[in-house]
Formats: sequence, structure tokens, C-alpha cells
Amino acid sequence: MGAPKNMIKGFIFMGIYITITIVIPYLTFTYIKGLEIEGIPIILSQEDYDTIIYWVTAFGLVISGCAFFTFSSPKQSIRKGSFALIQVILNCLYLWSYKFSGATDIQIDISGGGINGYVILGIQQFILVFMGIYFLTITIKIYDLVDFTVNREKIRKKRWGIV
Amino acid sequence: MIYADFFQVLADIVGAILGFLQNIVSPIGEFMVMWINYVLVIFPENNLIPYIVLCIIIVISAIIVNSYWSGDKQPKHLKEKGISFASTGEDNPL
Repeated sequence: MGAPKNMIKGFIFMGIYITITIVIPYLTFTYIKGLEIEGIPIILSQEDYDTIIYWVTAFGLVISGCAFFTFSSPKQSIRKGSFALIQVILNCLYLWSYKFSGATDIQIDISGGGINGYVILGIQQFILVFMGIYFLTITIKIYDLVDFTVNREKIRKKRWGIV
Repeated sequence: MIYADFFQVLADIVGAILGFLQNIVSPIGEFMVMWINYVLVIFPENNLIPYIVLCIIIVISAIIVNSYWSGDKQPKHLKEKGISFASTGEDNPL
């Protein structure tokens, strides 16, 4: 695959990652912010909302940049392995930033219609399990990187069609 | 009603999987959280510019690296040196 094709592939995956890590969370939180259940508005505090959107955008940008690098690199290359590993680590930070920003313990105030109260969405335990799974992913990525480095000669010969 | 049943079943399945994994994976998750908390301190808050700059730098470097070394053919400098990636024992192996 030539350089232009590599880059097109990189841009496509970058677009996918921007959608997944920035656009969808942004739309979701914006939707939640203005959500009404049976006429009762659910209030997500502006401060929580801003912090969540900030971290989602910040890490989303870096993850998307890394995704471009990863997916525009040749198969089984060391640079692909390295950036795939960096990307997984950044994904951990991204995921944890939800907790950091307060998104794992969102307090949603419900008021109006003679009802006053709040609901707390606690997804911290869920994220802990997810982090554990990410740890296993990091282990696999490290293995891949070692494999690509050790078998570099073999991989290159195969890729360039050298017998 | 069908949707409600479907989501209930789905929630039960996800709950069962998470419940099973929790004892194994959660301790590892706690370890992950520990180092992540340290790392997150170095990331700037309330300023998106460093992240935008970093993203641009990564994309530009990927473009440059790809232009010079797309990976589909042997780079010129290796060919000129006569490095052929021949198997061990042959001339000029890398």
C-alpha cells in the first residue's frame, strides 16, 4: 500500500475516532443536559457539563491524532505497534477522565411538577472493570510490539516480497 | 413492553458478566486508576491549545513519515547500502 493510500486510511480512521470520542459524547451530554422526563427537566450542572466536554475534547483530539498515525502505518510495523500502544494508554486516560470530570457520579437534579429530588448515576465500578480489561489490552499491545521488533526482518521480507 | 423486556434481559446479561469479571478485573482496574491519577496531573486543564497542537504535530509527523517510508517497498538508503534482508548467513543481512 503506497503513502497516499496509507494516509487515506489514516484519515478515515481519524474521522471514526473523532466521531466516537468527541462527537457522540458531546451530543449525548448535550442531549442529557436538555432532557425532560414527563415534563420534568433534568438539570446537569453547567460546570459538570463544561468539564466533561473539555476532557472529552482534549483526549479525543490526541486519541484521534494517534489513530491517524496508527492506521496510516504499514501492517505489523514497529511504528504501528508503538502508536497502537500509546493509543490504548490514552484511551485509559480518556475513560478515566470521565471520572475525573465527575461524569461517573453525575447528579441529575429533578425539579418541578411538585417533585424535588436527584438521581446519581454511579458508573465507577463499571469503569474499574473496563480498566482491568484495558490492562489486558495493553499487555497484548506490548506483546505485539515485541513481536514486530523481534521479527522485523521476517516481516519486512514478506512485505517487500523478498524471498 | 417488548423493548422493556429486552432491555431488562440485556441489563441482566451485562450485570452477570460484570459481576463475574468484577473480582478478577477490578483489582487490576484499581492499579490502573492509581497510575492514571499520577499521569493525569501533568495534563493541562482549561486550555485546549496544547491538545490541538499535539494532535496537529502527530498528524503532520505521520504524513512526513509516510511520505518517506510508506512501508510497501525497500527504502532507497537500504538498497544503496546493499542491505537486502537476506536470511542469516547470506551477504549483508540486516
